[in-house]
Amino acid sequence: MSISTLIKTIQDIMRKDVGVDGDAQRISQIVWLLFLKIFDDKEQEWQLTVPGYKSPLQSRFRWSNWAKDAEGITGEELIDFVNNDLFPSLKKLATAAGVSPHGRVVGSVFEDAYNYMKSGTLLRQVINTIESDVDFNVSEDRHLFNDIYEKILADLQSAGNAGEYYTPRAVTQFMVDILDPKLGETVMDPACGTGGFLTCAIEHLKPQVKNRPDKEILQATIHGVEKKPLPHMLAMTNLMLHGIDVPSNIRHDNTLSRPLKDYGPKDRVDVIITNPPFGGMEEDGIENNFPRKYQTRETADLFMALIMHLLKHDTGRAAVVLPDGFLFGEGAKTTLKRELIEEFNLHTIVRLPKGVFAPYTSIATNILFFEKGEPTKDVWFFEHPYPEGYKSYSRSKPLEIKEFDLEKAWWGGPSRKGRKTTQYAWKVSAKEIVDKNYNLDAIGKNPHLVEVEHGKPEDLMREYQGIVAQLETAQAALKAELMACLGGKA
Amino acid sequence: MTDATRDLLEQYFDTAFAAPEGIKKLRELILMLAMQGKLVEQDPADQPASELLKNIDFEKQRLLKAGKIKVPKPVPPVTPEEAPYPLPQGWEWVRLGNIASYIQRGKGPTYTDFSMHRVISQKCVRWYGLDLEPARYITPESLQKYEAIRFLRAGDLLWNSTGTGTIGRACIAPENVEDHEIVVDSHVTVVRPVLISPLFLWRWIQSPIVQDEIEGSASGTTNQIELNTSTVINHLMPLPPLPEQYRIVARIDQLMARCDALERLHNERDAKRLAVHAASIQQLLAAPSGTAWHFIGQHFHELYSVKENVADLRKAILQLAIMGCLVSQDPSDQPASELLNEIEAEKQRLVRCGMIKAPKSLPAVTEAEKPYKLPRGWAWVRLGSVTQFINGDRGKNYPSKDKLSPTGIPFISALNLRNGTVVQDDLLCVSEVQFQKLGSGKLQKNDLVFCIRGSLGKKAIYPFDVGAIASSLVILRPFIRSSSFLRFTDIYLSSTLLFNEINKHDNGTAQPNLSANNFMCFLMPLPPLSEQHRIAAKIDHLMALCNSLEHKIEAASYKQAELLNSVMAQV
Repeated sequence: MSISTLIKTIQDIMRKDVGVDGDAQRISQIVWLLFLKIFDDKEQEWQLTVPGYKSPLQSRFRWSNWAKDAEGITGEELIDFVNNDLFPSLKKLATAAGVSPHGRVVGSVFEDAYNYMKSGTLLRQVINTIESDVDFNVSEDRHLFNDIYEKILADLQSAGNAGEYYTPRAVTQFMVDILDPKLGETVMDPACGTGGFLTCAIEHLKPQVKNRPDKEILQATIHGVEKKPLPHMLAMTNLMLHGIDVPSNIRHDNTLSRPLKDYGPKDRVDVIITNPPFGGMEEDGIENNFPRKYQTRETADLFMALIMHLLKHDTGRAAVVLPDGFLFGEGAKTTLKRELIEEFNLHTIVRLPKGVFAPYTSIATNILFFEKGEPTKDVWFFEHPYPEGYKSYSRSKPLEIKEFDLEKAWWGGPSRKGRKTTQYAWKVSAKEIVDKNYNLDAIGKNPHLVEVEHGKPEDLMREYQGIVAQLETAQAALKAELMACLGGKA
Repeated sequence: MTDATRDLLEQYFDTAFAAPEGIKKLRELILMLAMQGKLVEQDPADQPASELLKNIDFEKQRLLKAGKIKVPKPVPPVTPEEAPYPLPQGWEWVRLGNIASYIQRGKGPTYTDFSMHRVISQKCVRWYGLDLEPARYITPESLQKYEAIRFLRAGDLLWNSTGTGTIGRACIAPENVEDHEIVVDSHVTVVRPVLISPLFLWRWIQSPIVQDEIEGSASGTTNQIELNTSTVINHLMPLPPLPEQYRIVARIDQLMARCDALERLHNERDAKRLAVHAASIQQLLAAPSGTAWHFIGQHFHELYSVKENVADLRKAILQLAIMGCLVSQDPSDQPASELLNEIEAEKQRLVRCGMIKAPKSLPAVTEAEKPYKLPRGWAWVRLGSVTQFINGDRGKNYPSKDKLSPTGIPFISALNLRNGTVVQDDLLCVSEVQFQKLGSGKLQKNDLVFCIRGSLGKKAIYPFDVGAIASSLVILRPFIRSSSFLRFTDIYLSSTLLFNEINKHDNGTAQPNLSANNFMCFLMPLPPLSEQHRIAAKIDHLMALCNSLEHKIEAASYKQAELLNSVMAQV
């Protein structure tokens, strides 16, 4: 069964339940069920691989013991068990003393989870559907999970309301490939959503993991923060699927709610890779956590201020997806851009065409690549072209990773040597940017497209007259034939 | 067709088929002639259609005995009164039920994301052929419910049977469909012809004789057209002898290919005409005193046979006007610097009387930013130094939707600005009380209103005595009330110079935004006041000529279409 059919089947069952109200609750219900199943699969694995592994769950709370058997407990008995035994016990793992890191993960997921279903029989049907149709162990493609999220977002119909968009896999992959994180470097996504960037980074780092200590390093260096409970739950599950056994560095929190000055040197990271929510507005008071020069309600700007603050001096590097609005905007945005030019090396801006984030939004976006330490000398712009024959991207014709071969070939390696001006790429000096009052949008228009070469009117007129003559000949010939048809009969 | 019709066609062929719908009609003409038996010669040696019909019956009997088809529904014979037009010797009027072994709509399947079998929907049926791309997949269980006869075979005619705009479109199933066990959904009718040329049948369906009939048969309150299976079975068709069917199909293909070539040349010619014009306008604006104008004059007739070029010509005229190339300079005119002094004095006076706040000082015009060289006596000025900029009240007194009604004091938004004027339809108004509450953005007669948010660049000279602006607009109030200066500013606001400047602020989002502060700094060329007057008069005259040119183009193309239709009606 395909993912979309599976989700639909489960939702159809839940619709019959009087306790579940609306898609949001249905989704949240599916998510904790999936989490328990995946956690159980993982435990089977750890029992073999982790010496002395002991499950933080009492035996009767393990998925394989209460859910797996299709003929297991159902009806009143099942609901009673879930509400009065399972949930209280799992929630306790978040705060109780002496809980193993594995247990903490379960606790943090269940802190915000809730069983909405009232009918035990229907819950049993849902469990059996999940049990018979989902097997993440055999799935070669772990990105299946991202598909689930996308389907969920589409169903929630709320995608974009708070500026949250699912970042297309091609974009995350390209950004990770370019930043090229090394094992031991801390990688962070301060608005990690369901963990798309982080899992991509993990896959990138995996070839460098040789032994158990390496694996622990990987686990310790992947950081993420997500504000909303549902994506956070999905992010934890997602990371577990990608081999981070204890994703305790994925925190459920609003990164912006901590005053900027409280982030000290130990919070600094090597690599930040993110697509901050844009167009969103933060609650009152959040902006007071920021120095006055940055104060704004626009979420994306606050994130930019934070990202710039969090990067390590001299080694920190980042890739951030931002809308065109950031490039031409003024006010706090001008301050941010001035600092990007003066204190960072904003070396490259890849301008993505509209439709990359379809169907959530059609706005045009950019990927900003910058490093902390040296001031900017030149900014290279690269305008990503649509593939031949495309007018826009869409759900059925998405952006694909191989399209970025253009950028990669041009990039010039980690040192960015030998970059050339092409029809897609051009260079702008920091001085020109300052002169334009940091309007990166105006200055970042592809100069090669503005020039329309019309040719000489006299030459074009000759061509025009040539076509007209051909047209007359063709038309006369056709007319003659048709008239002959008529003449023969009339 | 009579000799008279033939002569008519010959005489008006070139003019009529040059009409916008010309090639389409030409294709229809070809199909009509084909279906009347006029496209190819009849060959007396061909076995007549009546014999072919007997063979078809014989074949259907055989299939029935072999259990390959069901017992056909009886089809009433074609009466002489029913025959739409007379046929050549050897042809017969038949019903589709006579010549097909199977006519039925598909049925609704259970879809799945992927399987080995696809379902044809109306989207797949294209005049250019069968397109499997939009076809969805059917579950194996659902496929089980389709009898063998429902699987598509090569040569089947697929006929869209529902929905305006879609109904009537048909194609022939190609050779390879049989390898894939494809079925159709319930909106497509399958007609499986026996022993006749499927392509002949398809061309008949394509002909205007059939298509017009389907289009005209819209019925029901929703105007949803349906092609019922019984209608299809009883549908009439002219049946030529079999060898002639093949000859007709080949001949149609040949003539359609010529139409394709003609169409291609038409498009090439139209594109080239725009290119020639764009190039000559570019040259004209780059060197107004050069040869470009002579060139345009030489080819005037060809270039201005389409409205697009006239629209570009208007833009060029406006641009020439603000370059000082439209009227000659008069050395005795008072130079623009004098006018600027007057404006400055008036500004000071207004500030002293408390009519306006002291305007912000704008940066001086530097040599480097001047877009081009101006004639003697002219000057570059910042727009904000010659007109007052007034933003609307966007505070708490901004009228909400429910405060707007059709009567009261006009509340102008970008919607009311069209073609450079304020249009009165859909004008919304605020009450006197509400109007008094507004802190700014109040219009006076002969203010300029300009859209700076959303539809950047829409503008008008305000024609009423009082009014207020919505948040997308800004008011430009000239510091001196002179009709020439007002008109010239209006010309500047329509110019390519200004639009190029605006486009730099268009960020491509749905709500492009030009801040009033940026707008104030735009550079405007300022001629002496009396020259402004001459320019405005010249523009009025030239725009009137452009109007009449456009009307003539419209009238000519309308006449052409009329002629085309009248010629076609005779055929």
